[in-house]
Amino acid sequence: MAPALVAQKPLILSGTVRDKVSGAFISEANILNGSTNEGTASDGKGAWSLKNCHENQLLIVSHVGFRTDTIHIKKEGARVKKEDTRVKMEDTRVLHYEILLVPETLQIAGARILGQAETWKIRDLPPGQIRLSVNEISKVPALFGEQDLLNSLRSLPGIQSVSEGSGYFYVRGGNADQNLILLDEAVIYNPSHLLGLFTVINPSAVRSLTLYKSGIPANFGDRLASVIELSSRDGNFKKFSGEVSIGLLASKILIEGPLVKDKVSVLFTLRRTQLDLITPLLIPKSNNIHGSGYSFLDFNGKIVWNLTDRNKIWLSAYTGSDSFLLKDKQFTLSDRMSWGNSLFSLNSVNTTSGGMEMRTSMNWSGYALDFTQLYHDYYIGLNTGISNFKFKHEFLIRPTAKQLIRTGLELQQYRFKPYQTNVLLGNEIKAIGDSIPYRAREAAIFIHHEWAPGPTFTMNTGIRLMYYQHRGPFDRLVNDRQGFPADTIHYPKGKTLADYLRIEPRISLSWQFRPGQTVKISASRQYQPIHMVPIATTTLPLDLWIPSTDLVAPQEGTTFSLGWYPDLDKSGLEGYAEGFYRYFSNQVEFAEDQLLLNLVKDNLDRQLTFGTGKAYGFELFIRKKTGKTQGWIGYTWTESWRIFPEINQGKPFHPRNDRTHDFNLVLEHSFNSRWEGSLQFVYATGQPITIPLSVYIMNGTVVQNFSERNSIRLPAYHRVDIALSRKPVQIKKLQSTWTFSVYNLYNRLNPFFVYYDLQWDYEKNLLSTRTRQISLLPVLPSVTWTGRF
Amino acid sequence: MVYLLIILAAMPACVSDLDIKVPSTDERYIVEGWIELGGYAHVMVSRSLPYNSTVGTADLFNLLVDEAQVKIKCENTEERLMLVEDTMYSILPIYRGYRIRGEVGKSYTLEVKVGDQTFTSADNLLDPIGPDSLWFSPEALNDSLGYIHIRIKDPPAPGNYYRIFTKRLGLDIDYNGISIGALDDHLFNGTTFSFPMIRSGPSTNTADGHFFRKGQRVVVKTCIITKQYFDFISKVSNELGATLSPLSFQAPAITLMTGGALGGFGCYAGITDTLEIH
Repeated sequence: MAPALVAQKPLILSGTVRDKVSGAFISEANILNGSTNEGTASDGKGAWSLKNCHENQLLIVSHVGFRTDTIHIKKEGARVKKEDTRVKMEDTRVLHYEILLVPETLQIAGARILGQAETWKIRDLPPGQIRLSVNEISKVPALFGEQDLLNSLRSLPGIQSVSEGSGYFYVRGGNADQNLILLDEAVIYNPSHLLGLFTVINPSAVRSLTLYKSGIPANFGDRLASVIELSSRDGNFKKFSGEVSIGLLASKILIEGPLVKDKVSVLFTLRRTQLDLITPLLIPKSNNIHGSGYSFLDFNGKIVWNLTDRNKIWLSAYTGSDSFLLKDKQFTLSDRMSWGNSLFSLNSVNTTSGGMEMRTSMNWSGYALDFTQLYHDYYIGLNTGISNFKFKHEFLIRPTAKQLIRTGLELQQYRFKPYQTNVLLGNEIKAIGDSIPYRAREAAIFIHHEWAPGPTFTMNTGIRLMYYQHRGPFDRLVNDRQGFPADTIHYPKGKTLADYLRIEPRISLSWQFRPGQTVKISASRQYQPIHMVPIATTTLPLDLWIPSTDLVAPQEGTTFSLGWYPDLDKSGLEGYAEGFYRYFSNQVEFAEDQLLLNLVKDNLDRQLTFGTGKAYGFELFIRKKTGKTQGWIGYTWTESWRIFPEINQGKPFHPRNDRTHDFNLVLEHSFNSRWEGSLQFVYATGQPITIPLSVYIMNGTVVQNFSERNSIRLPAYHRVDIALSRKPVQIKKLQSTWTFSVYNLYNRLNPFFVYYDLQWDYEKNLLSTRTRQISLLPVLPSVTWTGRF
Repeated sequence: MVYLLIILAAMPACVSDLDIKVPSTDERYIVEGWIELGGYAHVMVSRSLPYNSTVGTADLFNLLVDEAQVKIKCENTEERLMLVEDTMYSILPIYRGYRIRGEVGKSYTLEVKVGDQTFTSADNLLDPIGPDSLWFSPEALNDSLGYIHIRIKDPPAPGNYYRIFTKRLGLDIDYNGISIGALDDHLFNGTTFSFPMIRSGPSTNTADGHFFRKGQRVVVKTCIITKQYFDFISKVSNELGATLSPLSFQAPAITLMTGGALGGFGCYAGITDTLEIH
């Protein structure tokens, strides 16, 4: 028996949104109270909740690609408007809805319904949060016809890359390692294939992406700059279907379907590049490096089991690898490099009859890189890696109509192998470098509280308590008088070398101070116990992760943001202006006098130096979400600085990701019922670099004297990409789509890699020095065919 | 990884001059000095030149600092070096000594005065260590060309730092370095180790490239240097690699000289052996 509703008392509505055909949960569905115009969106698991609702109001549920549904909020016994929407009464205050949306047509990425407003608004989201659906990702023209998650993210304000083809991204002046990328709660350590041309996660396997740039909720930790939460897509619960995509550089296949109809579904995707097939055509057999090549492969899988309407369990898996081989016949040289991520994540969501939700995740993820070089009878191998096991358990409780509490704990165990170098000496392979694994543990408890006392004010507060240990077994090396490691202090298994207890407060406010004018403020302090030491002058997959130890303290970051979110609904627009300030300490770099990866057996953390950083700037964003032409404009002004007493003579310097101006324009236009096009324009201030200012002759050759760290700017980066898509055409059981795109339309030669060309003609005694650039991606047309069956 | 870039660049990529404005920089004095076991001190004093430029022989002569006062000191002895022509080492005149010779166990201090600036550096001459054996092996594509292998028995105590040079008799005026700038014994301390050598330096700009050829007589000089000089030479080599290596550390030049000049002074304890390649 359901209790009666109390008149005038606000209701909390909660529930899930699912695809009626496939049964898959739908994220980013918009749930709008038609009377108050307040709304929310379903999360990565299809769950949603909406406060301050009353009986007899209308609930409008929409999602691109689905028919909009309208629900009449009724107390017990009331009928819902649509027969495919069921209402369940839980108690007097919480109504649980399981909403099944009907697909408008079967859609594939790249096709979308026009003229339908997406009803959730940026101003309804917490400060610093951005959500992207697969559909929005598809608006950004694709490189080589391949939609890319990172490329889409980089088109948003506050998110920058170092250069063309960069494998990483940088949020509001932070470092690459300060972004936490989660796929179904498991960490992805290296986000890119092929020097950043592809994101490691196949977009076909992703349902939604949520980015937190500031005001990061307390249920996330371990990173200073941002959190990217990727939710994998459920397989079809009704029938088997699939998708094949063939592009110039990469092709992929997706298969999904029910193992038990309406109960258990599976989804698998496989993607690989064809570059290894193209390379032999580019490098003839007569060339000494014939046989060299590059390839990547990745796999996503997910099994979902809907135990009951309220209980769901799923297993996600990802593995991907890049492989590079260089052969030089003349020098009997063979370089082989492979790197990749893997992860497994077992998750469950259980909802009680009272509306409380329990989420549990157990996952493992890892990243590893192996490099070997065979040169004549000389062998050297290098490998580095990181892995962690994580258990997370959290509760979502709605004590009143105006509050949400999210609380839980997180336990993690890390293993690091900073770098191990193997050298063949005689017939014996000897391990040197920092071959001693580091082990660490972390425990965190958190509580996040959302409070909406009225329709114009929301306050999110949270606190996270993190306890971290660096534990044995471990060998700490001690220097001799010459400065080389000579003695070892051994710490046995389980012995704590260092521990850190940190408190991380978070707060964010959203206040509609007058109709249509909202201001958002956030402040947070975060700690990051693991570090990726930057070593490269260009982006390479050589990520050296190390933990906090007795010599390296956790990174500490404090972030403030203040934003203005006006209501531009009447003009069909939405947008915001937001400023931010960041300060971080305990930043790590290699000491300037260190020979990088020298062949010395030493602890990596003894080769580091420490400093601080700060970044400040503001972002402007305007988006048009309706009409035949849609898109957005994003602009960011940033200054980012680092200060290391032992680098650059202690003077402040810009990090390589510092971009003063960053502008993005993304447009999508529907020409007619068959064709649609998209365009992206990107402009950014040139990245700061270190270049030689002078040369001198020493040791019989020419030596370069470099500038102060990152004191010179490369030319500005800009380009235009366009894409034209033929909307899906049904040919019997196959749905066919063609996408034609041109990357870098006006052939801008943006520098990808800068090098220094020294020519000394010994006979003429003529010395010339030049700074040269390699531009990796000139104008590149491509075509991709996608078939869905 | 450089080669991965090359393979990617084999796609329709472009190489061009980088068009950026580089600020003019202060001129720096450059000091490069050394003394060998049984030999006299040699010191070159020059100026740096701006990047993105082309200079010929005449310009190189303008780099020479010929007004310097250069002294070498050992224990209580001091000698002022003379500026002389010595094409064995450089087309530029070089300061050299004629009295103080390199001896094992001695410490040497170099002092260079230019105008009112004084630059100094000091180093020690250690015990030499020679190779056990040398031999030749052909390269993969042409068995007339190939590598010289060297085998060295490293003493049990750690902290030995090697620099190896070669000279093809009748072809090379001076010793040339090998492709490995310098190496220390942390990899092979106390063991007998061997590795193949190819040549580097100006004389590789011929048909033989970096290889040695059958029929040549090659003198191999194996030198022991101090840790401070090893670090300096390694970093100079690293800077050379900075032209393309993404692993290089691009930082202002390092120096062993006090007083603001770039460069350094080192002592070489060298032993020579000759290999006749059949």
